Amino acid sequence: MQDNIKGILVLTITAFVCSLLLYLVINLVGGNI
Amino acid sequence: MKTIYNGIIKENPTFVLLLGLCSALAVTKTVESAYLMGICVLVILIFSSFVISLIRKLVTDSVRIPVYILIIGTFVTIVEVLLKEYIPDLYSALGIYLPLIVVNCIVLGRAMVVASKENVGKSVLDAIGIGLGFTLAITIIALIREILGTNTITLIDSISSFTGYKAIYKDILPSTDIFPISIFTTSTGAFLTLAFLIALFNKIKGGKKNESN
Repeated sequence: MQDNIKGILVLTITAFVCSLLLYLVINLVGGNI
Repeated sequence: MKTIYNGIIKENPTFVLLLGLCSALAVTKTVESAYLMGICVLVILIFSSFVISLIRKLVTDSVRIPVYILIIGTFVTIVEVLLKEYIPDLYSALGIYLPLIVVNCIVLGRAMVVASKENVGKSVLDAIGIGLGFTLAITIIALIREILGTNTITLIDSISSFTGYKAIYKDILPSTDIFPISIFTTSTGAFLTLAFLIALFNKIKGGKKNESN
């Protein structure tokens, strides 16, 4: 149970960090997807 | 150094592990698209291996694959955005095979086998070796296919807007009635070239093994 919660937490944080990184890169180059 | 050598020769992703063949065969029509695809895979492999190895103790088994896909997908999208913005010709030349690096067996395979178990230094060195091995392998395939199929070598063409000059060498070998052999520009030619190269690679490796015995 605790492992599952830790897993979901890690997945959520990774998704947040990845989205933030992409947002910064896209804004930096001024490109549109 | 041994890890890099291992990735290029002993565990070459194309000739030994036979991974990522879809993109390897599809982009080997010209030497230029082959080595540029190889460089893209190399860059993505290095960054994703670095990050995955860094967080390897935090990731539990149940969410391993989603987390890895997320990380690899982020780096692939970053490379895609940068290419679209700065080298649009290359972006259109690589086409669908650039976003498909996300599901490339080489990147995910090395993440599962090496980066999730080894330390950062070893993971990055392994990524460099495997990336260089892939780049070298698909460049050799493209070189043979392009010379036999069209009798040209395209080193710089679609990125000429970026470099400022073109480098296309025509009529490498004297043309005859049966040469150039156009079948080498098709996917059949790609499979034939790959098969001959794997056989040659195994022959050389087998010869070396016998010598050491």
